[in-house]
Amino acid sequence: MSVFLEVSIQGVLMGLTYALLALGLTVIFGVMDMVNFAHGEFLMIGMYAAYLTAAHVFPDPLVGVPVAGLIGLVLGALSYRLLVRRLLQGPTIAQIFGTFGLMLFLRYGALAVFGPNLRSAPGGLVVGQRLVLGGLVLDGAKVTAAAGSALLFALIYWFLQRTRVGLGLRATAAHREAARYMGVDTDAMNSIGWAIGGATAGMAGALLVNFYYVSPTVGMVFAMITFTTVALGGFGSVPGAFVAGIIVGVVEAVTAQYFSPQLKLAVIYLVFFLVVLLRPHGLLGAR
Amino acid sequence: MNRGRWAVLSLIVLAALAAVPAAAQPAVRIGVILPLSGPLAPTGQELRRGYELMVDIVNNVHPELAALGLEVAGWEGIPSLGGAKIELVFADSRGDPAIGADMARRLIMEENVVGLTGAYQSGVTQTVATVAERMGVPLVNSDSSSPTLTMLGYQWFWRVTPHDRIFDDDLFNLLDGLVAGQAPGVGPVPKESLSRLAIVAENTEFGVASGDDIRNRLAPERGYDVVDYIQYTSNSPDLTSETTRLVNSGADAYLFVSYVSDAILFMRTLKLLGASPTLIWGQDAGFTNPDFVDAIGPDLHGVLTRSLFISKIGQVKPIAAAINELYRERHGKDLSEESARETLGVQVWAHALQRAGSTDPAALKEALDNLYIPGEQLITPWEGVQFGAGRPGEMNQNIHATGMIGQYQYNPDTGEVQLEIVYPFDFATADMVHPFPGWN
Amino acid sequence: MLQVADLKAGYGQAPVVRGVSLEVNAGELVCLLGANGAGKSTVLKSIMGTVKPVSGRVRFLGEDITGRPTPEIVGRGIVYVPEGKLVFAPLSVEENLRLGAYLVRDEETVRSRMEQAYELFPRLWERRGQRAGTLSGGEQTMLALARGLMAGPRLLLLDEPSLGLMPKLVGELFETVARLKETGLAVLLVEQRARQALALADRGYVLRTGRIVAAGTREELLSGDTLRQAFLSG
Repeated sequence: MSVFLEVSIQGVLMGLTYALLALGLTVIFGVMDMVNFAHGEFLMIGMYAAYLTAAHVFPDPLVGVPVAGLIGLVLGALSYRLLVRRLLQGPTIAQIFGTFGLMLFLRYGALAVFGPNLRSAPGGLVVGQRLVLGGLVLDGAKVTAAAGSALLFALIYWFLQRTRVGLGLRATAAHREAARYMGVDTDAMNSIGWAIGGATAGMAGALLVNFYYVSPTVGMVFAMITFTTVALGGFGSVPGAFVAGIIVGVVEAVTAQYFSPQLKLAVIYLVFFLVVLLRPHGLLGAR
Repeated sequence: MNRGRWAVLSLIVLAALAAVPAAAQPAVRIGVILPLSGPLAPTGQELRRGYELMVDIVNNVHPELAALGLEVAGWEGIPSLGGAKIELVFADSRGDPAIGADMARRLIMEENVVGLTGAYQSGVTQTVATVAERMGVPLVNSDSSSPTLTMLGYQWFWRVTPHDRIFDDDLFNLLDGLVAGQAPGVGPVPKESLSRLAIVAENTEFGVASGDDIRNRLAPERGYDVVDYIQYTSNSPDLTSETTRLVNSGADAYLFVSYVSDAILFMRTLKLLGASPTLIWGQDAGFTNPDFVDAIGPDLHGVLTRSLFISKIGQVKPIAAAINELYRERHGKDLSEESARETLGVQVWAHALQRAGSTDPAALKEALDNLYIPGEQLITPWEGVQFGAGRPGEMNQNIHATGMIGQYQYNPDTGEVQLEIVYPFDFATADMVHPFPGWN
Repeated sequence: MLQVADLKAGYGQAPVVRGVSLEVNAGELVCLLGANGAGKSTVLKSIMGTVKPVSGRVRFLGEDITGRPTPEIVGRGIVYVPEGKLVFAPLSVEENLRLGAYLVRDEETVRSRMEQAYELFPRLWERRGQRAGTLSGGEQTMLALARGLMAGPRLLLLDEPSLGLMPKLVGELFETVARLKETGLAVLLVEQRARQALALADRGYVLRTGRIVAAGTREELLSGDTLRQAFLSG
């Protein structure tokens, strides 16, 4: 198998994971034109949920996926009901600082509760599993995360396209006031958007725990790449996040292989700038 | 309040003052600058525990330690200063060089300290050293490892512990020792099986300084070949491509300069790719972190890391075991590299004060310049403490300071992973596992 | 059916509507006329609850609905067809129609209403899979109207449907509105094209700088001088 193909496949795997991280962020942005700066921390909470489930309930982070999804869902909905909804009455700057504050609160709250240590899953069905396909060695945990990502994307896409609530969400995203004239409870749509954002971030976190360590500041590690993925795909676009995630993953892997690992982030941002130059709203952005 | 009450109150205050024993010698105050808040706060606390342990040993009677030859344990203060106790005055640098310098000024001018110690991060230590230099106050450092600190010509700065270049030397001493058949339990190893090195370093000052030192100085000097030098961005979400490149480099030995999060990702990915180098070495940092050990577990068997202090040395050095035991009684865990460092700093201060017999800065400087503490009194495997030039252009560096290299060894019977000492060879606590046996 | 009493409303500090009272009875088509900026749209938005009234009362079918949440008001049977091109541009024509019936849970009802809508506007049938944003101005107006009908309204509030349409299309539009009235639907029509609108209407109100300055039947308003005055000095 050619090195290029091998590297690209590794890139696609990681890219699907990036896409999954971007999913919740782009949904929230789509529904209410708001960047949730605490998204990385939602992910972190999901990771702890899965890690703690694996450490104390059943020794496999996969069991933690629904747990983390549920916790993320509640966290997202509560963040909206208790914080974001109040911020909407204030100026835009208050909204930005509001979710930024939520980020700090969750990060340092986790530091206080869980301590600064890095934790790793004690084991599990796919933890550390090697999948050998021909000459290609894949990380079973990453394959699982990638598959989970594809599945969740399909599910969310179906939900948005084929259900009544999904239609309400898309109407809210397209024109909030007009949606209200249709009888759409846009406030409830915001809650649902945040719940989806939280739930997907939580599940993404649980899938990450199969191959990544957990720490209170782990949200920071993924925040930049997640925001870039969302912006590249087009803020608010679910298929855009999917495509952009894969592009980011492949560009990263190919750059590291053929140029220098140090350059991989630089090249990702170069691609990002080029795309934004040609399409200011991202690859599949609506506006 | 009337005059009568004032009189009564004054009498009470006077009586209280008189009750203080007049005979006590004023304590000798030493200023300690540490990152006690901010992201490094946990480390700062760990460092502080080391200081406090050795101050207690100096100020109070510890016959069991004195019996093992630890001089300061029998002193109950500084004998040459009439038994004056050492008092530490802690100041928080918050990890910021400017704040560190402010704290140094405050300690000297307002707290009347006779000397300083700290301040952990090399950047902070450097600004503190500048203040000490200008004010003519001694700064004894046992916790900063940037080689430049002892190359700046500072007259009032002394470093007890090794710097990063010494640690790099240790690695090549180990490699050469393997080839020469000096490593415990390993016969002579053909140099061809070790000569191709790959360096993986995070692209920070710490990573690049160490990586460059190995590639540009040591490898050519000792006749090794650096086949790849991979600099990566720390805290990356993914290091698969870096690891793939490392494996494809075909190197015999992998040398890492990484913090804990990246170290975990590298080890996991190496295992996944089934990498089979003959040797894996880590430049302390992430490789000695307990979280790293938890995350990788039995797969660490055979992985090497440098460290300043490994508590296992107690098995071959009773004084280290006894001091470690005292620490265990207080904190329920072994001395860490951090706490171990600071016990040495206090020990040096106690000997300097004793030798000077005065708190006069000039006398202290003279004492430090000519200090000698024999190796038997130290928890480290050094020949002693003696300041001088370890290499050209250097001054006031402890010329006997070395590091240790530990090897993680997994015991399948107990299920435990232990860090055994394999270098210095004379202090080895176990036979070395070589070549790297592969993954479980 | 709808009674608005002494309604005052506005955005921020500035009152736009300064005491408006009006009434729409079952089966009636009532016009609310006035120049640009007279406050016509604000009256409708206050009825819909998207602009919160400062004072005054809105009653519908005998119940006070002043300042209730918009979805509730829609659920009670008042449907607002917004001015301009407030269709959901990224969504398909069919999805826009479905959204019109968002509160209708019965799939069978939705389907039959959609068939009626397509029958009323065959152009929309042709374009049902297309993104609404790609429709022409006239088609978007049709879509907005059809979407409003999907809810099965009892009272339709039409906000300047003729805005930006070619004259030929305006005629078609008013014909459609007249046909809707014939089905028994009550309509409150906001317009600047006073004469054309009044031609369809039973009654009308004339709004100037937030106040009702004239009211009466079609004939009364068309005969006197009031209409011209209201527009000229507005």
